[in-house]
Amino acid sequence: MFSLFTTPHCITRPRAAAHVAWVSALMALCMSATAQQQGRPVEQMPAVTVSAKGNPNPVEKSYRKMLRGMELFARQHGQSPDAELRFKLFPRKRGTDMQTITLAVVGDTVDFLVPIAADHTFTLPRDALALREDAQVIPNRRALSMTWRTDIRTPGLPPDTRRLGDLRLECKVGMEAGLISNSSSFIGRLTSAALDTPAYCDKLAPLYLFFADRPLFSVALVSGERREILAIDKLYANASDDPGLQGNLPYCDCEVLVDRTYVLPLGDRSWPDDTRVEFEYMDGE
Amino acid sequence: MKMQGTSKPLVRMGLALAACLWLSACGSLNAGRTAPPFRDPAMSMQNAYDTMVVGKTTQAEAMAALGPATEIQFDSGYAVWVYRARAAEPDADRAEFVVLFAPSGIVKKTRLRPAYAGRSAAPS
Repeated sequence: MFSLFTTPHCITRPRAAAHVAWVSALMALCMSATAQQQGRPVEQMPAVTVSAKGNPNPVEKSYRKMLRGMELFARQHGQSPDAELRFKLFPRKRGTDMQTITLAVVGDTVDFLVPIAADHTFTLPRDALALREDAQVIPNRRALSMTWRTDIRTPGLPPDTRRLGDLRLECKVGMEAGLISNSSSFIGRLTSAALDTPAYCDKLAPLYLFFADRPLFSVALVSGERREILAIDKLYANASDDPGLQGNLPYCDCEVLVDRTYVLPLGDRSWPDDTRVEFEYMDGE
Repeated sequence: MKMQGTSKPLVRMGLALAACLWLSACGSLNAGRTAPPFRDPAMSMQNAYDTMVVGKTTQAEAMAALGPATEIQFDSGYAVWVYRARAAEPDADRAEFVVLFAPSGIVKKTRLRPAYAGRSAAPS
């Protein structure tokens, strides 16, 4: 249960109903004071929506849109010349069985299965009939139990590292393919049109959520002699700064992946594509 | 996963009120002054880093030494405590000291993040 409000110097924990009004007033005072002094907007939960045509079930994806993502990858393959494009499934709800997933492409007259690798990644075959019939890509899981991302990895990188150019391309292809699951937040409704395009990934610090392989302790960017550690508000879906996160989690596809979640300054071109993204995990030494 | 402060409820409320009143006063009288993130105003980030012993320091000891933090508690039992310096300028990047507690409540890892010149804390 999320019942707390915290800023670095403003901490309350209401336990009884009688405290609520007092705490509310206190919170308002705190917010006013800190906002005035910090002079910066509070970063909101990432709020992106999926609007696959004829697709009321967010766990399904549009085959056409996913192919559009594949075409974007082909056009911009130069950004990650040694990598291949795969898609990846992630759990979105606690208890989702990720071991026995069946994935099918289903149109009016066409249907075929898509093999899923042990790491939950897959590639999508091109099929003209499925494209013509506006087929859906459908896993055998209930709505909102899983989410999707692209997986673009240059081979041969050191352990616990990724390449920034790969992640930039993951964002663009993911947006083009309509992979990011929904948010019902007010901010999301306002800005979804702007966020649902690959151009969103060129923003200086887009809120495109990446999921690391394991729970994160730290993420650093390294290019030559330059090394910078991401601020804490770039990890854990901004949990450090967002008092409303717990309430928003059901609308975020990061719901059970918060400890693996991070965002990157994708549009900051002072970091070249070959920048290494280094991960330190909670469970490592 | 939940995010919370790390002090006891009533103490927290009192501290919060005092801190907010103090922040308000600072905001009107001396905006831009850097505030220490720790209970001991003289404690530096490096001092705090040196105080925490991986595999030994407990949450209670950390609280006693450093004061309340912003806490992110994960369902796995791990917890992250964050101490952030207040920047001299409103949008300037902020230094951080981050402590990871294992489910046992013992410090598992610590890290310092400096404030990077030219970095803005505001989202774009």
